Amino acid sequence: MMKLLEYGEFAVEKARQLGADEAEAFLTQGREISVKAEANELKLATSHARDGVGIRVFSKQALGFASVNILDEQNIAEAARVAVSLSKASPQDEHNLLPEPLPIRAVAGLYDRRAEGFQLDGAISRVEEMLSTARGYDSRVMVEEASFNATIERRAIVNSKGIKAEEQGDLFSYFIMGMARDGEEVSSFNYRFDSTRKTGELAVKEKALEFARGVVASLGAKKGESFVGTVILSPDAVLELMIGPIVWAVNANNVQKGMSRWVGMLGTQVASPLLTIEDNGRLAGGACSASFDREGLPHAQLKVIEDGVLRTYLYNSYTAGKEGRKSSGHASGGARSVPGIGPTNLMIKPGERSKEELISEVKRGILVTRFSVSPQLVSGDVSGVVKGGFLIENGRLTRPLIETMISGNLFELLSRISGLSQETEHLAFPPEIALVSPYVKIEELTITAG
Amino acid sequence: MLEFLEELLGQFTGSDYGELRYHERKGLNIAVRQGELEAANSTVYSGVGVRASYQGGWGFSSTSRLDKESLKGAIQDAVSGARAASKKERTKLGEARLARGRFSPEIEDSLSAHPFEEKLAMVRNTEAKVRSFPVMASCACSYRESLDHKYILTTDGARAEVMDSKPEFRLLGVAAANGERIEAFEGVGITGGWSDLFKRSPDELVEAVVRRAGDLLKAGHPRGERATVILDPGLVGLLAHEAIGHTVEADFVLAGAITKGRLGQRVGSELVTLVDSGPSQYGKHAGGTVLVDDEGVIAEKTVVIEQGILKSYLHNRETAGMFGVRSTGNARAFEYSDEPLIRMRNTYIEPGDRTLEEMVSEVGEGYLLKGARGGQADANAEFMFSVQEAYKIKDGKVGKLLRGVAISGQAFEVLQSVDAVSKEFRFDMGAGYCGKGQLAKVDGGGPYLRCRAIIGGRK
Repeated sequence: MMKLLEYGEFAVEKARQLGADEAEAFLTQGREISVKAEANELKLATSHARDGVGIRVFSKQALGFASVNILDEQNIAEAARVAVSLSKASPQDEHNLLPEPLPIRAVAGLYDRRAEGFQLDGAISRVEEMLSTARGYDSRVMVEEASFNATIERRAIVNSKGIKAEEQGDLFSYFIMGMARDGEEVSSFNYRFDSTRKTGELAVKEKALEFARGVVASLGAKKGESFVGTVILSPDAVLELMIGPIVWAVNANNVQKGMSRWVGMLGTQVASPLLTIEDNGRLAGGACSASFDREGLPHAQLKVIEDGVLRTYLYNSYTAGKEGRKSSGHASGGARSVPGIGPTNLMIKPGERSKEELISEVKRGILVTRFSVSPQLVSGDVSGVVKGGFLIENGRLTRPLIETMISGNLFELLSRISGLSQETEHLAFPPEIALVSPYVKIEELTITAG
Repeated sequence: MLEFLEELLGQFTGSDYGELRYHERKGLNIAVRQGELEAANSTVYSGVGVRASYQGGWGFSSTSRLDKESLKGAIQDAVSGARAASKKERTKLGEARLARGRFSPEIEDSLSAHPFEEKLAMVRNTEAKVRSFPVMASCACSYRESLDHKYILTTDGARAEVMDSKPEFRLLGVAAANGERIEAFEGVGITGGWSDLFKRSPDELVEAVVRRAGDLLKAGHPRGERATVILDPGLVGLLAHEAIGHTVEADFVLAGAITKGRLGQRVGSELVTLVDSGPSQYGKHAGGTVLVDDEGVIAEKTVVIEQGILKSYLHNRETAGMFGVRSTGNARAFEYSDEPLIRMRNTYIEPGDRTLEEMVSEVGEGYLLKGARGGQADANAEFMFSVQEAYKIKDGKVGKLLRGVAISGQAFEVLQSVDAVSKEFRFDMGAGYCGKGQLAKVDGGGPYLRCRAIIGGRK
């Protein structure tokens, strides 16, 4: 059988023979085992072998793309033919150019050789550990689902401009969700998840315990009151409320196409001076790290927001080309679609005070540990339900809340950030997101009780 | 292919049950934004998903390689997975109407009869039309189609060949003024062919997006409060799917969802009859139409709530066995490499006998809410939906438009509060997907529904 890079070269060659001026092949080959528990019991063990190739071509600077999940010459040749035929029917775009190669330096810690020896029984025992930890904490804890997933994946890219790179990585991901049930009372759902590349850093027990504490603490929740007050967001709530609109607003494609609130705002104050957000695709061992992006260019480490000032947008080579600049190495996606733009490992800089100190300063407000929201990405309007939350009165958590809503505009809220905690949490769910975030305190939010 | 897979059914030794599902999905995705073609993607994703059960444990594996050796290996992996997860109790599968033969939705105008050029031109023209309005700063338009071909075989007798065709069309417009930007969305998704997709023409969708985005830009925010609301059919679909439907999925019920132990009890007003149906109802092309589920079971029309009384959960074969009922045909897998899970199909509330005008005229103060934009719900049936438009109702008249925010409530309390249901009915969730670890194409809808809910507002 041919190697991944050889298939890539074959795809590029084939597309060129069929009339493409430029061609790129992105390939993946992965093995995955996973174990899942449902309704408090071990349920399912799975194993998969996954292959894929995505072929992007430009014929007279017109785009065509095809992908197939079978790696052999016949299927790859057919995908190349389809990609070229689509490109011949597509409109020309002067910015459709594949990137030139840049030096690629390997990022450390992406592959733990011990992952190769990881077997089904190892995954089963991790899931059993999550179940026994959560159920052992309190018999009212109900685990709707717990899962553990181990993946080894090779990814490779070849393009007709001379880019040729290949890399192997591993990833362990785990997830637990459920609720607490006390007689007729059912708490809100809660969940915990994380990922790591190192077999020695599996924190399944910690996540199961955090989950169990969370659902039990939310029992006995009562309707709150309506007021305008302070909200402290947990890292989970930060992810739900803040990250989507921010990532959307700094995406250069959205900026160029008038869909970002931050069009033309580079160098201006978009948030409280307390807020600094960094993106680092080269973080050693990072869940969303890689030596090269979806187009074969090196990732970068950069400050997106520094002391509240918007410093940069995120680019792939298409959007960078339109502004006559270099890609920031944020081409994202897999083999089944054309490259998009996405963040890698995001980090919100922690503050200097503890979470307890932040709470102690609040006269009247709420601590939100889980937030259910679908933010309007363009306008930044957010309106959602507190799924895990506690009323804060005179600096103390007084009781859990339900049927409480928070509304506002995210882009306006950013300037009302009044504190960040020292403590941070790591939330990784690759390939979509890896975030390190502190607790974030925001003033003057509208809180509505049912 | 069917014969080839049938031969392999003999390989499931050491298990109580085996299932082979070949699934080829051919996809096309065309996306245009601000006049630029962002995606012209053709994808083929095919392979066999293999599932086995042994003493209550389940194993699943998948392979894209269709040679005998690879498939035998995948079956072995599934069987050893099932044995590793077993619970030392015999797998008891519920009764089911197992499918045999060929199944295909009604398609009069096949998607493959329309060339890429035609689809591309439709997306480009629609996108350009939106931008021709001065108030619009930006537009994104996309077309997506999935053409499925499956063979589903089980060791206890299912032998089905299943075809499917699901196109979608989406339009997002952004209006801008005074440093503010606001989006408006319209989307359609159906089961069927090309001409079935455009019951509402692209021009009508353009008009809806432009009008809504422009109006919202000038609109203020509602006040946060518990209020009488009239939900449009899309929101009723979301309520039926998101807030009620998930709590009656039998796997959630077993895990302790709020509906556990409540069959036969009153959970809503007697005006409420809620259905999850595999076959399309009220017309042919509902987007979540499933004829045969991914366990090879004929998908039924399942009455979940009848005149306010909880009648049935949604089952796969395993939970049907546990509850001693027949499978409702709700086991669905998104792609070959996904294992079947209990998922909804077309979920809706049956129409009533009122008109929208009557329903509005009886409201002293409240809101008419339109345009679902996603939502989430919880084990305790507390839900949250995003709404695009909120019209204030005062003294029986629809008044000014306010920016839609989110509405929330406890779904069963909301159902209890229903006091009027319209005659008018439509499905309006077909452009959406439901996520539960994997995606599923679903639809939802209903009549206009008057009830009480919490509006998340400003001040």
